[in-house]
Amino acid sequence: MNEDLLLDVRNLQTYFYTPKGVVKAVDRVSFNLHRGEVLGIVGESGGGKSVTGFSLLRLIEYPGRIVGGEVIFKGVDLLKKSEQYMRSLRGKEISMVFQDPMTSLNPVYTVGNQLEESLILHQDLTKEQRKRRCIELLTMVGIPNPEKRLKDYPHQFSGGMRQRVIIAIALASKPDLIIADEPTTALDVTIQAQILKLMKKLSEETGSALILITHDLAVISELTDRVNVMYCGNLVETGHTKAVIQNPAHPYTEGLLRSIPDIADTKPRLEPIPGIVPNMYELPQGCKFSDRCKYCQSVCREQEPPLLEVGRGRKVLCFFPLWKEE
Amino acid sequence: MKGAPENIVLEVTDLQQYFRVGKGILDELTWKKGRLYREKLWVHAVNGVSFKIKKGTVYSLVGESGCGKSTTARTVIKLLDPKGGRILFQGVDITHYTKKQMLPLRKQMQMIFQDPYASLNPRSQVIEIVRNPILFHGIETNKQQATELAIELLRKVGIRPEQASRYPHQFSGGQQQRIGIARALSVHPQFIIADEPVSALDVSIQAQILNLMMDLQREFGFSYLFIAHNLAVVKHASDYLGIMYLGKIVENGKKEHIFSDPKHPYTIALLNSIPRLSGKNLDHVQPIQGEIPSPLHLPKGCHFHERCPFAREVCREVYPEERSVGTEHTVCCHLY
Repeated sequence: MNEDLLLDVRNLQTYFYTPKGVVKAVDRVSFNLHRGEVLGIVGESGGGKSVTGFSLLRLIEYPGRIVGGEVIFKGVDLLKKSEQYMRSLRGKEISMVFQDPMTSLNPVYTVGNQLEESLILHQDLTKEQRKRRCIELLTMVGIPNPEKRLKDYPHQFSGGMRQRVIIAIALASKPDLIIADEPTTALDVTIQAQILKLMKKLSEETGSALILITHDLAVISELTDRVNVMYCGNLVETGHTKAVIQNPAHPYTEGLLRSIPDIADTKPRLEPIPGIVPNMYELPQGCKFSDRCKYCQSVCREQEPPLLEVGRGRKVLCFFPLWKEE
Repeated sequence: MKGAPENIVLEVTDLQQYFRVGKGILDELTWKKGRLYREKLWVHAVNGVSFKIKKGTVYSLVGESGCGKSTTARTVIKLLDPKGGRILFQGVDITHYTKKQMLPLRKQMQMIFQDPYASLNPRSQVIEIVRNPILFHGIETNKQQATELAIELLRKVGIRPEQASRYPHQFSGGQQQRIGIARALSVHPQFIIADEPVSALDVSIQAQILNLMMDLQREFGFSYLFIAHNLAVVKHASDYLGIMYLGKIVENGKKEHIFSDPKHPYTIALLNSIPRLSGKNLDHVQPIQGEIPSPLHLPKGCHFHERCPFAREVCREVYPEERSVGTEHTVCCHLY
């Protein structure tokens, strides 16, 4: 078995059983992640990218259920483990950074308390050692006056500073994997640049692998080594970020790239993807993107497309990929 | 001082807007040198903003949250009363107009809001939402004709006639924004304020709405005041730009000039912070440090000096005058 392989997700299926019907939020998704690697998951709302992230930690609540597949983390299938095992893993070996820095900290505890909590749960340190580690962590994420700020409450921090605290908490137990779900979406662009740079630096320094979930392809391009593109619960394209952005193989990836207003770009008009993301209760037959796809042919509406390997480490869920390695 | 006034839809001079904070006297009490003082706290949202919008052009105000761009927009169409300065709408001074005096002008200025769902009445059918302003402002007096006009407008923004009797919640976010646009167009306005019209939408839908807004502008020839935080979006949509920081416009000019030759250190920092599709932009630039200061206590001197890598002594003391650095390109910075 490959020593380097940290996470191997195979045929993951997470369904939500609602009164209106079954929503296949994540449908047979497979991907892997090596140690120290940065993987991006990109897609629009409803694509299943956040549910994928939560499924890895088994944080799916009723009416959702993981109905199939394997999540093999360091050789162990997490889906077969007890809830108790998961609790000891969360925050220690896999930690998570959420989108909204305003709501993911508890307002009635000091930042120091919340940072220390993770150390108490997962590490055997004395009180003195814990305090030193807390200061070290806050320094690492670039918070000035760490000793003083430990006694402050979350509302005394700005949005960007709170996100730094959350990153510090995520890093507290030196996890092997950090899942960051839209970590900079709620932040201003100058603060976003600070946080993205910080996350990149820290993942290089600590050797943690990072899964970055975002809707912003430009952020993906800046930060990640590989990217998964998701649409309506399917993984439609995966590959090395640079290759995917330069030569998209799936029509949806191409559409996304063309519809983004990029700052370096001078074309006067954007090329939107026609139509809207389909209702998850009434997905089209065959390929889920067929309704909006300009290359759509009759077979796309009848059969589900195959996952084709079009290059090294490059897979695409399409009958007619736009790009193939020569 | 200005060109032909009939070319200017909106001229704003030295606009001021501030709000009281604190609900009671207790919030305003502070200890100073052993004595109890009562200090009134004001949020200085807009601190002397001046700009002009030419007929048929798109002017964008860009800045980060808290820079006062939305407050400026709400003040210039008098949803808020200005605390100072002057607003000329098509040559008429509307600064001190009352609500009643504004009423006939309302059909000439319309607004598109950020949150499409919150800006539509959930209990009205879409057709009513678009038809009501037509009837109210007397564009059409006959209900039948008003309905026809409303359906025509909905068709123009991409809502099919058979969908017109539905309610707002039955539409997706992008479609709701289309309905908001149809409502704004219903009274044939000459000036539309769009406050972050696409920031709540998914990327593939953003492009649809931006294109629609630009097509309609070409067709009807109205002017836009576009409020946005995303420079990439603005680049596709505007003719002129004003970059705002803490209640002031720090740089003002044609889009091409600002993107190809930004002058103000804040504009440069803002452009550098944007993640790019080509990747590796952030590797090479040092993002500006720190965060936007509180509008409760404005910094002395240039508002940006605490974060500015080029700040000098004078920047800490004096707010820089607006100076010209090219055709229709002005900047407030001591470096020039």
